[in-house]
Amino acid sequence: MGLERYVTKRVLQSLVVIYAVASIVFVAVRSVPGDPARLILGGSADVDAIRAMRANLGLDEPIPVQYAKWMADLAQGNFGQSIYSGDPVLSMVANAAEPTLSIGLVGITIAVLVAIPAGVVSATHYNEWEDYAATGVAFLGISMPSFWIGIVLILTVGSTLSFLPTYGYASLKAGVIPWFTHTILPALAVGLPYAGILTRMTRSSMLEVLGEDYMQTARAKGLPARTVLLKHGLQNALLPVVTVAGILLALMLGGVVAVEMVFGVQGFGRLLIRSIERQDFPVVQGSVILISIVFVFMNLLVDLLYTFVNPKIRYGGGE
Amino acid sequence: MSDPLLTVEDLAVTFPDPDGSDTRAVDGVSLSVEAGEIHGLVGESGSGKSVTARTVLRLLDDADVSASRLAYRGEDLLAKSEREMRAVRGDEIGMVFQDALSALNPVMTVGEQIAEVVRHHGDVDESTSLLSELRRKYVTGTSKSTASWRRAVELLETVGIPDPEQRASEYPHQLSGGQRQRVMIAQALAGDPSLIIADEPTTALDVTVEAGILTELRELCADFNVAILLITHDLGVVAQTCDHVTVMYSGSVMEHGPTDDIFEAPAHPYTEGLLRSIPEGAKRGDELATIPGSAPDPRDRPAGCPFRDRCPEATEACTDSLPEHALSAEHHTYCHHRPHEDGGRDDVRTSPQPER
Ligand SMILES: Nc1ncnc2c1ncn2[C@@H]1O[C@H](COP(=O)(O)OP(=O)(O)OP(=O)(O)O)[C@@H](O)[C@H]1O
Ligand SMILES: [Mg+2]
Repeated sequence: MGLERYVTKRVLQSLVVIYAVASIVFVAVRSVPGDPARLILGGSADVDAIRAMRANLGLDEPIPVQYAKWMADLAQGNFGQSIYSGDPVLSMVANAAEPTLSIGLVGITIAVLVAIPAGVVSATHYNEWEDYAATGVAFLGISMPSFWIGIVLILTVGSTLSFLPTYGYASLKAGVIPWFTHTILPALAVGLPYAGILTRMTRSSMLEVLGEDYMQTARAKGLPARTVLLKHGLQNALLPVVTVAGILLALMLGGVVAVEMVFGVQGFGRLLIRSIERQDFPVVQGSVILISIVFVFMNLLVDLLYTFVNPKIRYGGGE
Repeated sequence: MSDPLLTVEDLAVTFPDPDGSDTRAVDGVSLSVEAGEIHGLVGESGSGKSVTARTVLRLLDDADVSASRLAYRGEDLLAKSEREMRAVRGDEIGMVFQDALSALNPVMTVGEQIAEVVRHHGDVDESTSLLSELRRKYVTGTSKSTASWRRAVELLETVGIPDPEQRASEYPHQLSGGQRQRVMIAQALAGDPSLIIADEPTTALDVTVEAGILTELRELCADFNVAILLITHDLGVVAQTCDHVTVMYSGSVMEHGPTDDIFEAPAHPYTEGLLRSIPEGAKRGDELATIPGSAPDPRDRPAGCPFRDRCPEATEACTDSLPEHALSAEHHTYCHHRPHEDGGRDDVRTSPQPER
């Protein structure tokens, strides 16, 4: 059936994308000016020490050999160690990813939970005060960058609601409540612009759906207005929203990196920036590849979600 | 004689336009549909047929509606609340729309689209609360063992869809155009209505499929004793299917009466023109004629007879409001020049009552 072929195709595509990203990262890291060995040993190190360090890091081999080794390691899930601490890249990234993913996922959840109802209400109250209120707030959300919302939240909510910490992160392992109180403010900062965009999309999509023939049919069948709206309209209205939400996800993760700084969270953004500064290239390479794997995986998930909400893809045929 | 099933008297529907001239889409339409009959409503594009149909079910929220009478089984439809109208829609009056592909929900199985009508209007004991409907739609799916689903499958079989069990679980885009239109009909029948309004049910279909659907409608009308208000711009369809016909032009009724009378002795120049424009109506050897000119803009319609600019017989008198002439108890025309002064056509016909 069409669905299996489609999924296989998408998974293969994803693997190709990850391979391409890995190659680009390899090239990019090596075209950054400066010599990591010299950087590690400091400016005064002598030539022999530097040569030894380069050999140690595998930097003395020809580029194609380095590339082949790198790919072979990746294929085995071996991302190397930090030049500085010697810790495995995988565990460093995993530790840093927890706060980032927590903030991101809670942010998305808030955005979706706010945006879909707001968009629907906005559309059904077209040009009434509910609509103006929702589009107005959405506009505000869109026009403020996440880090700015973060600062505003710290200054307002953080200082009035003292139980909400404005600095740092608490791992889920330390309990759900500390985790949640530490996550909620940065998640709001990340989620609000996203909620704004999704609200406007849901609104315009829903407005279009409200004018569709099948909505009139549903009404002509004597169904109550809410059943018509939510049973017949909602899924159709969300079709285009789901597609765009996938693209926005990527943008949002960019926002998380900035918000981490504002809230002093030792997240993925920190790790990446610090590693770039120190030219800790195994960590840079590993992080970028792991984050792109997360991206590709999320996009795959969104696409699969889309096939689920759109029977035309699920069952083939149609126009 | 008992009340007709549906009575429309002097219906006017205006779409207000805040910065322009209002559209008077329907301008004094009267018609009545008897129980069990097939009543044709014909007229060229833009004459207000669909607006009339939607007004009967009160589906047009942005329109100003007035009528000296708009009644179903003697009950005033204009006086009903939205909640009361819901008990009429789908339950007493079913609706079939023109383009089934856009009129069916693309993300719902056809079985569920029929079954929900059964649940809301039929004799089954299943919850129709918003929550249970949403649970069915998004969480559990429609259970195949419920009475409403079985009824939906049965209805699909009734309207002539092969392999109805399998088809019920499919989505509209998986069916052929003819099958989709049959699904629309099944959906309209699901609430066991006494009247079905079919708005150009076959216009989107090719001729052979059209013939099948029309036969289906005729048979259902007889088997279930449903009346049908059949909207079409095709007099050929009317000739094949309808007991009575109302001819509309630019928001007004030009002529109405038993189909046979109208085809044998059209009393309005517009009806004559329409008849000449179809193969069945043209006399042997005649060219198929079209009526020259086009209908007036409903935002800016001149007073008097709306057809007068295109009418070969128009005179000064046509600027006066439309008079009604009875050619027989049932056959009426609205024309300043009919019946002819020479008496050629004004002999009152005694037409046989239609059988149903
Ligand atoms: N919602 C609306 N707002 C404004 N004008 C409308 C609206 N709906 C219909 N009209 C106008 O009313 C007039 C009659 O339209 P209607 O759809 O009833 O014609 P019709 O006889 O069904 O034609 P067709 O054969 O093309 O379906 C048209 O001029 C149309 O532009
Ligand atoms: Mg129409």
